[in-house]
Amino acid sequence: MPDWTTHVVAGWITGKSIGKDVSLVVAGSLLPDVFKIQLLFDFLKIDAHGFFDPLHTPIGTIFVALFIAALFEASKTAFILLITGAFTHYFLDFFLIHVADGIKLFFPFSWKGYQIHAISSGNYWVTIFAIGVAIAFYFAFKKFSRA
Amino acid sequence: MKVAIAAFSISMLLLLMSYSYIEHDEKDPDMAYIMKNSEKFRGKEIDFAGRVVSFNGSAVCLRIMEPPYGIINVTGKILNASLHKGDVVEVLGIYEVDNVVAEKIFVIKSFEYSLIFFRSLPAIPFVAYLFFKKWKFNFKKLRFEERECQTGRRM
Repeated sequence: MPDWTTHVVAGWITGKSIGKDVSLVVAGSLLPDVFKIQLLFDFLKIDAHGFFDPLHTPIGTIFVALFIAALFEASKTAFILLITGAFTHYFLDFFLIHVADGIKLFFPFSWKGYQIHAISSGNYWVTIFAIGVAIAFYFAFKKFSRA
Repeated sequence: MKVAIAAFSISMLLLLMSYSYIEHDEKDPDMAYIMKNSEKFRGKEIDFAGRVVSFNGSAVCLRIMEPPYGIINVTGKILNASLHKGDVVEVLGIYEVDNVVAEKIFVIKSFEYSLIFFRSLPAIPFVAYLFFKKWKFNFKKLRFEERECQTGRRM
């Protein structure tokens, strides 16, 4: 995964670009990583045995977003914004280099992972670039909203 | 209606997670299962990630980063790799019981790997600030509601 800052910044830029509720798009950008709860089990040396893996698949994220959206008055809008954020997450994850595996796009029908293998998750220049773009966006939006 | 949607979502999630839990060993086996059933996987292609414990130019000793967190030897396509203790190595190779003959490796330097976590930390308060600036949870109605004191400026 790219780091969460890159994911959040991408979600923020997307939210600002579509002119909708940034808070939900940004929250959605971290939604697929709910599966990181696995780390707690790893820390406790409990083998969760793939139980949480579906949370990092498109179908799993749709159901997580559906559940969270049900907690909002405008649940349809909330769902669309959360999913938009989650889409940015998967889009960025697609570019990561791995020797095998990848995003299980068609789970549970197929366990095959898909990946473009372009950028290392250790590459911090991606984060610096994303923050730079976000700062440029921030000032551009500030200027346009004044005009 | 919303309760039905929430219940449906949770049910579907539990179904997917249970399916993954049951089928995981066959469809996407992890190292715990592979090492427990070493004869079944001998000569087969596997992939895993581990941290470098030691490296002597022709073989690298990795501590597996998932259960059973054991040590495994990797040989093969690592001769030209510049590896140091603590580096994270993803390996795709042929399993030979306590030894994997690497066909492909990918290395993340130790400090770069640690940096991923440090780079992630600022995101948590940022997301919490953005979200709770706009929304509060009404425990009586079990619903997120917009805060009344919105300044009109959107972050």
